[in-house]
Amino acid sequence: MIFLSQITKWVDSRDSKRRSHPRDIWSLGYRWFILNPNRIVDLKVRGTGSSFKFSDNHRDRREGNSYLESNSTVAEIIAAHDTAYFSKFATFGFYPKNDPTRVPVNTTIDVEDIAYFDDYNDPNYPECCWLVYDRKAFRRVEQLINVSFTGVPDILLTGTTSTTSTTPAATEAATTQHV
Amino acid sequence: MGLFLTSITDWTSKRPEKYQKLLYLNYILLNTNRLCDIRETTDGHTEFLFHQAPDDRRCSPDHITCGTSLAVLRGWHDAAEQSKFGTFSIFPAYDITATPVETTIEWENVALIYQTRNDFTNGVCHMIYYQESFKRRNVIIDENSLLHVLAEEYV
Repeated sequence: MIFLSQITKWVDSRDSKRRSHPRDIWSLGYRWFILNPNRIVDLKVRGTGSSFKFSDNHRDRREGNSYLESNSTVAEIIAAHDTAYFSKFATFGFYPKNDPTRVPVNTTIDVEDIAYFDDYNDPNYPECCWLVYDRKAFRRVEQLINVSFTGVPDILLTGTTSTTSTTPAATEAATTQHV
Repeated sequence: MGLFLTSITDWTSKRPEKYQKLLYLNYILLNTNRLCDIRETTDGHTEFLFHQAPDDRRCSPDHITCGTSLAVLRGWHDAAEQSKFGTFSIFPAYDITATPVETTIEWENVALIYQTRNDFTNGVCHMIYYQESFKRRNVIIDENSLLHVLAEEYV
């Protein structure tokens, strides 16, 4: 099961090398992401949180892993990974051409192919967020979906959005209760 | 996760093989672990991208439209096999007069299984599977029906 986490550092070789933007770090000290634990290796305790390597495209040997530091503990990440999904398929409304003014198309993908969810530069905040997933080894896709960032864990855990949480912190509390 | 039986409405691929023209009665077994971007069509069918080689970045996915609904696809994907391994009687060197060799393969490495009209007459099936990401294998197995393969996986 995916987990909501405060990421304090994200270093990778891609052009988006500072995903935890300095402005987020300066104002909050972290940035919210929803990560899939099936991409994590070398998970270690770091202070009161953890550090690990994360693979955006785990089927492609050419791509190096990112280095992340998180406020989530190792135990929380392990517990999240051991929590079962509602189904191994998940359905989201995909906006064609990532245009939030167009009608979303319900599209189903394998939960194993999901890398992470992000709320950055969300053009229709807070009604949608970015889903980053892989079309197997062939292609990495960044897709705008019609689910709020806080509603994503509910969809993967129960199949529907029933959350009334309005902030990532509240959603994290709700998700932790499920775990 | 595993194989599901479906009838093919449309199959567009950059690969040279044109399976849709080969299928006996238009039925085939596909593996749900190869599916991506599944969408329901207006007539209750589904269209999706099918990755024959999911671990090979060079292999583009096929586009398939089939007669199975999304709910049924989800059911097959969530179903548990009785074992992670399946045992198949594979004819050596593509020769159905030779003695088949019992070979055990992980279900997740099987891409698809189908029957041509000749296969149906001879009581065999064609199977495409992958030796992990290394090699694609096209073999003939000693199974007289696709339903029999499904029964071996789930029952």
